[in-house]
Amino acid sequence: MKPTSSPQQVAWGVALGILLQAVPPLVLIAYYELHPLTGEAAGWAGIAAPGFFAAGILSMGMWQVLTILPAALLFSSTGKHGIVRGLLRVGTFLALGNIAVLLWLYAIMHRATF
Amino acid sequence: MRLERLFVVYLISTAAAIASPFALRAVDAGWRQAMHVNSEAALEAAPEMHPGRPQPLQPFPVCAAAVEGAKYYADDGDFSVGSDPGDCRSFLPNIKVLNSAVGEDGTLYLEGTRDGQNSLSVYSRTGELKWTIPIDDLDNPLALGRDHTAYLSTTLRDSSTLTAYNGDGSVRWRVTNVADQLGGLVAPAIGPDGTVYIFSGVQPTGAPDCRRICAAILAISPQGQERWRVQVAGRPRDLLVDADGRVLVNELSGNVIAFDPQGHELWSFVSGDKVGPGGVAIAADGTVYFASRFLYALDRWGKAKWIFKSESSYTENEGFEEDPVIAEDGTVYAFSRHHELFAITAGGRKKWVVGDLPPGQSGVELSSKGILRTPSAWFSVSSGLASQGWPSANRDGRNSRSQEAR
Repeated sequence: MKPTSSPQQVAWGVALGILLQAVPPLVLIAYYELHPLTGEAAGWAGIAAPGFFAAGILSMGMWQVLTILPAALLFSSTGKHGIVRGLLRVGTFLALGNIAVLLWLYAIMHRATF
Repeated sequence: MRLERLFVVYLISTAAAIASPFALRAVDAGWRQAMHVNSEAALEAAPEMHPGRPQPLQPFPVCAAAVEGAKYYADDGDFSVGSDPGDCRSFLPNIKVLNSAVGEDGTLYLEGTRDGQNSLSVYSRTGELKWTIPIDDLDNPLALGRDHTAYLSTTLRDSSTLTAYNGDGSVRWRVTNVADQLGGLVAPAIGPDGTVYIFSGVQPTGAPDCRRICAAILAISPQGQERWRVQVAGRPRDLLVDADGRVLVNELSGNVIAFDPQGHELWSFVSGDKVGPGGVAIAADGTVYFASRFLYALDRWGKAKWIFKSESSYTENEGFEEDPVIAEDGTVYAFSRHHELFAITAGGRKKWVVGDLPPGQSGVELSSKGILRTPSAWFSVSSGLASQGWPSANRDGRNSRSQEAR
């Protein structure tokens, strides 16, 4: 199979990479729809939900590997190197952005504490 | 960029993102442990700890000029006066005391419930009722002037009133300040020249005229005239006056501001601590001890002479709270948020520390006889409360009674 790569494929890869970030939270939501929490657990989950949401946003650069990496390997095996490039760029951007956000938060916490 | 290289960059970035929280935590922990703290060994062993409170009940250390022989006792609101703890105690009838002060002539000013009504009742040193007035609230701080004037601060939601009572209970004057009294009371302080310093209140949002209604410290003459006012950021924790008439404002934001008796700012010490303020004490030499996240010793110009940091200041967010007290030998006793009791020399060295106090409330008090008390335990130490400075034997410039026997 002849590998292909074009700016259009890269753009598709970027778009796909962004869209894939919605998959893990959707899977989680679907899981809890099928297995709803009841009683005290539901109450605690409701209280903790904003915190989990914030933690999820702050760790996007880590869990992107769950979607980007399989998708990149999949498209690489089909020779769609342009899409792979787009996916890897999104993943790299998220990972580096995550590090920057953590450093920023650390600096804020550091100033607040010291 | 070649695809393989892009893939490697991606993997490294992802690995770094996954590792970064752990790395930051490790760096932070290492940094905290590397910070300088007072981890040196204590100079001496801590004195023996006695759980509970001293028994038999210790007499109150009335102000230094009190009539010799008059001693005062209190036990859960019951107040007594006598000259001998053995057989001369006569309990004052029908009053449960919440706040009290002792005049220089031994006169007792007791805020409490008397005959079912909240009142300020004044007794001679032999326990005879001199006069009594009804009051709305029992939590009004009292201050006593050297001319037998009693100053009582009362507050409503949107105003505060300072009333000066003559020695016979008649009202000499009243000063009312209209301002929202959010966040509780600030006890007035009396300067060496009789000037009374009070906090006026907290400004309403959007106040157009800070001259009248913004948060301020007011200096009131013994005749009831406003001498000056200075604006402050908000309700302070404490107002203090030292022997030279310096007015110290312990702000809730963790700052201490010093004003001269004319209301000019002398200095401002910004701790930068955002952990809630502790208290302030003043040594006879003018050193100001500020208990906050660390214990700061400030010289007369507001500069830190030394800073005492407990060992877990950085690692466990330890800090000091409540008022430190100063002994005659210069030792400073400070209570920490993690319920450790520190004895610190005047030079800022760790004299001893007790880390296993029984559970209880915060705070430390020292009697003139060297009984050091926390709410849950007491110690016998070598030196009693300093005879000069703040707090003093009568606790402070408000001339209110020591909390020692409560």
